[in-house]
Amino acid sequence: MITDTLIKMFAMLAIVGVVFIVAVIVLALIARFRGGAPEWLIPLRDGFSDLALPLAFCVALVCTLGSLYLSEVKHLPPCDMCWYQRICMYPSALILGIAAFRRDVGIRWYIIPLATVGVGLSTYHRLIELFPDSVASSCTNDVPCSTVWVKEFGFLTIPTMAGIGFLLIITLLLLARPRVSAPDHESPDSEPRDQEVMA
Amino acid sequence: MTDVKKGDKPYAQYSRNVHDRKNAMPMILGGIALAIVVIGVVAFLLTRSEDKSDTAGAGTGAEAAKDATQETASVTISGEDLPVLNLSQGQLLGAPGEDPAVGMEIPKLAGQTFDGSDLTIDPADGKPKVILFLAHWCPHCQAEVPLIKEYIDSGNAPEDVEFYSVATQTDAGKANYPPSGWLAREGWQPPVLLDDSSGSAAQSYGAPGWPYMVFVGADGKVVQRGSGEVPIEQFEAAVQQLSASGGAAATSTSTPAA
Repeated sequence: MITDTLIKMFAMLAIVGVVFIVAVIVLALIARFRGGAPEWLIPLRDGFSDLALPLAFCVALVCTLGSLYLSEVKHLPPCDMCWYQRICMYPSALILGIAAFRRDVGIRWYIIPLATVGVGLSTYHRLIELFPDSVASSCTNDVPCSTVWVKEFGFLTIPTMAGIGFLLIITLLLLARPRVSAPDHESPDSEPRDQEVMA
Repeated sequence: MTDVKKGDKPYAQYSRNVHDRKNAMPMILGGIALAIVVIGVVAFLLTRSEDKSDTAGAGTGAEAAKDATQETASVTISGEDLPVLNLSQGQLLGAPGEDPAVGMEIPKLAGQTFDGSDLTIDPADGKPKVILFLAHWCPHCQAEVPLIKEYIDSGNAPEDVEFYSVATQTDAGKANYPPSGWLAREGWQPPVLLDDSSGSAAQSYGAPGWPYMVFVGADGKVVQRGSGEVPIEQFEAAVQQLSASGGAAATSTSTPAA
């Protein structure tokens, strides 16, 4: 496998991403079960809510630049499935950048479906890697999607990291909420947003 | 806005939130920045420690690769070409009874290594040998090389069997270029013969894909061939059958080594 400091970094960022996604899901479940978020969680949740759009933009940007780094600098040839995932990821970076600048949380209605398609593609690609039934484990000069180019920590392949990127974008967009401009827009009860997270 | 009438601090809830938000955001941003710095440092340290180049001694492929002056070189091929290895789906090592190349003498390859010194793979030198064809951009080669290196390092490989490798399909536009950097990093012991830019040596040996391995008896004739990420146990068994001293697995009747 290719050994590279930046690829190792992407892999570790993906692990942090997974931890974040799992934490959000678990805390959202706890909040729902208890009928409200724990007191200590509220400032953290609000902080992530306000930062969600810029963070989602950063995730899409890192995924896009990482993908370009792998193909243009490390010269790993993108297979067909890679290209389909790129179709979902690359525009997200630009659109989320604009949305973060305009603080337009409504963008979730456009990006979440796109990222969901991305998750599906990544999952399918990972399954092809796991079960390369029609392709031998040697290299020829074409680029089969089953070829595993990068495998960090024993499980993080390129489509796995892409899938985590998509899930992270979805999670952050579900956490995002409109910036409060007046007190009457603020609900002291945390119920509605927890439901959004679960949606 | 019913809250306003209820207490003397009508916006208490709201102002608490605003206050908390202002406090939580730098913490989150700081945490993310810290995490990225830590990840960067750890990634740097992890990838640094993967350099095994110092473990390979003088005269090895890695040693020549460190002083690389070239990545491809012209190679002189003499002798009859081997037919292309034809493997069925999922098969990695050819069955000796089915491979028409078994029993054929290997072509003699005379060429150069990374540092420009001469290297010849000669069927007439009277030694059993394993020849590995490697492509730098191929992830299966990248996975197989450390396994074989470890096997040679372990001392379990028979002493009379020689290991050679051929750096083929070298392409500056593909991943993990140059092959010299890769093999030096891996601490690869077998000497590396450079194939030319059109892959003539690999072609003359009938390579179907990479990695490609040819197991040759002491008489210079093919005993077995294989291609792909061969599990190291199968690889070891194939090497053992070449050895004159034999091994636990050396029961093959097709071994021409005397």
